Amino acid sequence: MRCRKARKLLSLRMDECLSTRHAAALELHLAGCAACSLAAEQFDRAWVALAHLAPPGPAPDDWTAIEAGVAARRRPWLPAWLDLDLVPTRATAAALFVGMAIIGGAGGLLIGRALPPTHVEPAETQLVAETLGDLPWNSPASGLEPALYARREAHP
Amino acid sequence: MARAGEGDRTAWQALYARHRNRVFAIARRFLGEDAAARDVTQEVFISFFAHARTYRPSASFLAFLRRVTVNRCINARAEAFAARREPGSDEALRQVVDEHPDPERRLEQEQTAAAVHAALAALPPRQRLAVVLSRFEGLSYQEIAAALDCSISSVESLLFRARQALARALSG
Repeated sequence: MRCRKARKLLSLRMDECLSTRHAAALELHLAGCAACSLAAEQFDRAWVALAHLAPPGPAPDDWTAIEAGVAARRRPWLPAWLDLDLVPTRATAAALFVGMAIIGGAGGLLIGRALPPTHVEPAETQLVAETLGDLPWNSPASGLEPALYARREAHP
Repeated sequence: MARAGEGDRTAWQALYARHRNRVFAIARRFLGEDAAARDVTQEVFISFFAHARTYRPSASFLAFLRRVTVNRCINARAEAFAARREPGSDEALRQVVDEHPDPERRLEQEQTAAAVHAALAALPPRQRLAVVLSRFEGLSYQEIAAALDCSISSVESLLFRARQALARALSG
């Protein structure tokens, strides 16, 4: 085992996160490596020395300041009675969506009834008529014209 | 939590009373200064309560609070650094554990504490946070990874490098 790997394992051992196999390999390395043994001592000493720092005292009670801070975070341009926190956002959005769908549907129906119905020729008839229009007057295909008009009268 | 999410002030106050010391302790140890830690603690709770309605718990509330605290601490340190203010060195000396009334012993202890504080303050922010969360909060690698938003192997690496730096600083 190389020294760099051994020192990484030292850190894991201090946090009790080392597998039995790695722990055994580390012990074997430490037994034969004075530099890593010294590093292990220094790691331990430094970690223990952190206890010399004074524990932080209790947090001061800043509840009033926190309440004021929360109030200040609210949108200042909104009047107080329209505070957004009081409005259920999702329900409002759903209601708006349903309202817009109802208005759109009703408007479409009214417009549909107000306009006169438009007669649309079947696609086949339109195609034949357009083809005939392009043909010369005495073309054999132009003989189809009377049949086409007869069909149009039968199926207005 | 459900009541807090509905904007119940009593629930907010109860949450604050229950968790404020923990948030303050992390911030105090990271920033090394009472005033800055107090600001961070206030900021953590204000931002949480202001957005409590949209809070969706994906992990435990404590893990969420730790993560917010860590982010606020990093921001506070960056702001202090931008303002070229080195927080807390004198205060740390004043707050040395005073267990020994003997002046010589106390002086020695003050010197050790000052050296430890300086070594901790010299660590990069994420290494320092990893040390604070591991050594003082007793968190597992997984919890630290959640708080720092990184992988477990990153936490291992952060702690290894922090230990190396601390050992180097304190053994010289």
